[in-house]
Amino acid sequence: MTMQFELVTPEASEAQIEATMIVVPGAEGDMGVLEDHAPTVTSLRPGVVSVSGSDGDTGFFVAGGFAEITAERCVILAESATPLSDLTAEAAQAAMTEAKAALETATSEGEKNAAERKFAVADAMVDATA
Amino acid sequence: MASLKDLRDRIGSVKNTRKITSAMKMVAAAKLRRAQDQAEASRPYAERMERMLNDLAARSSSDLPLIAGTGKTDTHMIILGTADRGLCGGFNTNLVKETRRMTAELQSAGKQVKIYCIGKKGAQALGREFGDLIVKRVEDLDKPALSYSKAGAIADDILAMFDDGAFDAATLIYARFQSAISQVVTRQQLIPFAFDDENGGADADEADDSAYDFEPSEDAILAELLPRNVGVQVFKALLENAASEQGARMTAMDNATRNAGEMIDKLTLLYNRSRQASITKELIEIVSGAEAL
Repeated sequence: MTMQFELVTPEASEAQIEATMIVVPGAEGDMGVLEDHAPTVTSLRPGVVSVSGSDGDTGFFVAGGFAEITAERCVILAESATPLSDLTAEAAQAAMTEAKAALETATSEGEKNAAERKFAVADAMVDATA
Repeated sequence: MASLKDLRDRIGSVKNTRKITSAMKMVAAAKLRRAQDQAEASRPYAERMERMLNDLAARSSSDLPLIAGTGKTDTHMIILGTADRGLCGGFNTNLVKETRRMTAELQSAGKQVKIYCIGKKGAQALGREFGDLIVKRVEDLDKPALSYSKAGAIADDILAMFDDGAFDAATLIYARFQSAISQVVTRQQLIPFAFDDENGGADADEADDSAYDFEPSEDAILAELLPRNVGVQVFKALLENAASEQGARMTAMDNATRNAGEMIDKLTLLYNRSRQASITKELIEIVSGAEAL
């Protein structure tokens, strides 16, 4: 009762795991994925993808992206992904401070949007490490 | 005629040049390997994204500007990717030549052209002629290493200009890597998104089979996917360019090393001949001097 989990970023294929269950941070809420899931494409919000496999649970922090789910596969396309074990509370706090600073100094519409996105990512990062 | 010492010095200097070019060739070969690996690693992401995008674009009737255009084609942005350094054969020249040609085509069709230069060499070569058309210069992307976040920053920059209405269509010019000897200068339409007509038929079949559910909705996903695709395309072009640059440099330096070798052979022959000539001359002088006594 397993399905193939793949996590790809533009720079590398981060992980390929035989998984029994995957929890995906979908844009409209977390989504548990088991084998024989209906084919779905969803966008992701910043958050943690957790994978349960035969050799225990692993988690990855993704800063948004997409998931393509079919009956036997779950492929996550993320712009950047970090294994949860490599993510520290200090790094999350640092990202938070940076995002807050960017939010304060942003002047144009485009800068504001970018800063807000950064803030959402940092916020999710803090949640993930808490 | 050059003296023996001159010839000796000359041979020495060509030998040094050969050492340098052969070292550069070796460095380029190692870098080429790395660039190819990087390009290889980025492929799965780009392929999946393209598949998803073609699938979505074929079903959706969205009128987002990134897919439908702005409704006019007055201003055209050319995004030119070149190297930061020279000594790589015709690599930079070919890219710049293509940009010049495209600019001329567009200008004679009465359109406005803007140029976005990635890489020092392109900006240098175009600066004199089209200095006022260049809207931005980006340099030193491969220091210390090319990464997706750098390509993403360029894409964000381009998209911000697009949102401000600075241009209506954008084309990427880069060198597609074929082999170390052959790099193909390529124009790729970046904005509006040109989806693959060739695979259109196959995609329609696939779409029937797959029948994905979309969350939140097809259009919402498309709206998120399109800007990311710009980043992916820029990243892909930069990776291809990096591999092409190293390939071109490797070939150019290989030729230079071979030419230096030939030159050394010729000079050595000349050196030995003139050495022998001078010995013979001296002998004749001694012999005829002895006879005169």
